[in-house]
Amino acid sequence: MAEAEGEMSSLLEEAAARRAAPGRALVRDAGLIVGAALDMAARFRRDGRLLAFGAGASAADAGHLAVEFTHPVIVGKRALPAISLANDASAVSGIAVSRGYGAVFSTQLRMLGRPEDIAVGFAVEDRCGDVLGAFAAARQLGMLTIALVDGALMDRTLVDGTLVDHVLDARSGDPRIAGEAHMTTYHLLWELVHVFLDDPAPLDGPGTAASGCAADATCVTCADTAVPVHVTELRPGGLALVDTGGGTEEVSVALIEARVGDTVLVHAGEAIAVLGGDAP
Amino acid sequence: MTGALYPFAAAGGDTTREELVMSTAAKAAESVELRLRVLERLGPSLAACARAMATAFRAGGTLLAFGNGGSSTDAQSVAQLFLTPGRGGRRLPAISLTGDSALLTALANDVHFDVVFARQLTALGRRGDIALALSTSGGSANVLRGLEAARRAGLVTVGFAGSGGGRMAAERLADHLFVVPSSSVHRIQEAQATLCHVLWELVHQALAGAEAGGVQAGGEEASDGGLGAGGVGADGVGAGGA
Repeated sequence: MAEAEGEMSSLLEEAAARRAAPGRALVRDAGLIVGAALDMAARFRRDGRLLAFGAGASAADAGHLAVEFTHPVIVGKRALPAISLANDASAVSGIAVSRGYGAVFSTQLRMLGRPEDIAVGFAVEDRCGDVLGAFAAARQLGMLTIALVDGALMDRTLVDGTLVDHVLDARSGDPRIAGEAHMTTYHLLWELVHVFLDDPAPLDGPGTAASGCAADATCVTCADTAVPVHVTELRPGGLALVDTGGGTEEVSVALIEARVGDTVLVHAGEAIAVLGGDAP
Repeated sequence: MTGALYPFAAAGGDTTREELVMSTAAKAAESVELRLRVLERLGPSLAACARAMATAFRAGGTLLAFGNGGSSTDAQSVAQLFLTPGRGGRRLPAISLTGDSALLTALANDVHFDVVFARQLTALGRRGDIALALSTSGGSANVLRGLEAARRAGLVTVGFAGSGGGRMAAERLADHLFVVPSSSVHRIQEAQATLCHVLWELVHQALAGAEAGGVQAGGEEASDGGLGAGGVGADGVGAGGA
């Protein structure tokens, strides 16, 4: 009995020790979390919705994340549209039986997703199933894509940012500890989204990774200065293709009444004023 | 209203991104500190609870987990962890009482939301099973009535609460009670997740110890190394077609 108690106490010490480094890593990643929340707030402002997905324990996290946004824990915070794609047993098993488990989330995203929406997917313990396919479908639709991954993830396309806009890495290969870090991450994301929705001032700051813009690319409409551009095509979800003079980019025109041919002023990916019609 | 979350943001209205990053970092630090603190303080009680749960599992008991809102999905996560832990883990019988919308809506509509867990525990629970309740306040009527029903039916009762522990603590409604000392619902849930994960590890250690002592264990030995990756099929990366 004494021996068993000794074993339990060493397990407890070891369990605490295993959590210290990933916990500190999350503190260091605060800037990444703020950056992701900033882009999420911009999507919610455009009437975008949040679609969450994950398998196993992450399916529960997807549900937890959705309820945080739809039914805020703090009285007075507005309800934001969010759903989990993982908690309807009929939908999940129906797609799994007819199209295979690898189609569960991508099928739902293609049917439900809109360009202004946000895709938040959990990829933990390489049991991510359809999560990679779901990100590809979401990105194809123009959705903002955010991946919560564990430290043991093998698929580099998730980690290096070619598949998603924001990667938030739990930096632990233990799926339980990764799940704990993810819970803190989405709690913080929820809080920050409301800070940005309540007070847009920080939205004007530099460094937001607007959807579709590679971090290292020169992107005129994402820059922190307002630039005049020419609208060449209107797209669903309050988006438009614009000619910047240096190339074609996609921007949001949700705040203004833009028509093809208009010259509009764009700041940080958002058209903020119509300067005139049928410019050269 | 931002003030409740970020007091400085309400004051000037000119919050800088740097301030938000610092505040976010502080909350992440608070989260890990709280996790480590509760592990240290509640560790011995956690070990005692794990021994009781291992005894229940060895006798053929089933874990029944429940909670509201975010705690309902956390209950699902706990049940999933015991039932299908993946690589190397032993599978143990566990059910979440929060995932069946037919039951939940029927009970809430026909009777009252206060009974959604109590009725399930009365119907499903057998003497020797384990009821695991998750609450951040310790005061949710349906969770407390669930614990009361579980105790009447002879289940081992395990309760997680936060803040001061609420009625769950005041009325000693759980045999094994874990109160996370925080006033933030989010930090409480995060620390409870850690406690549940470590409890799961301790249960496995207790079961292994009992087996080494010659006691026949219940549960099913996992041999599949986890569920395996779902694989990326026709809808996979680069498949293109919408």
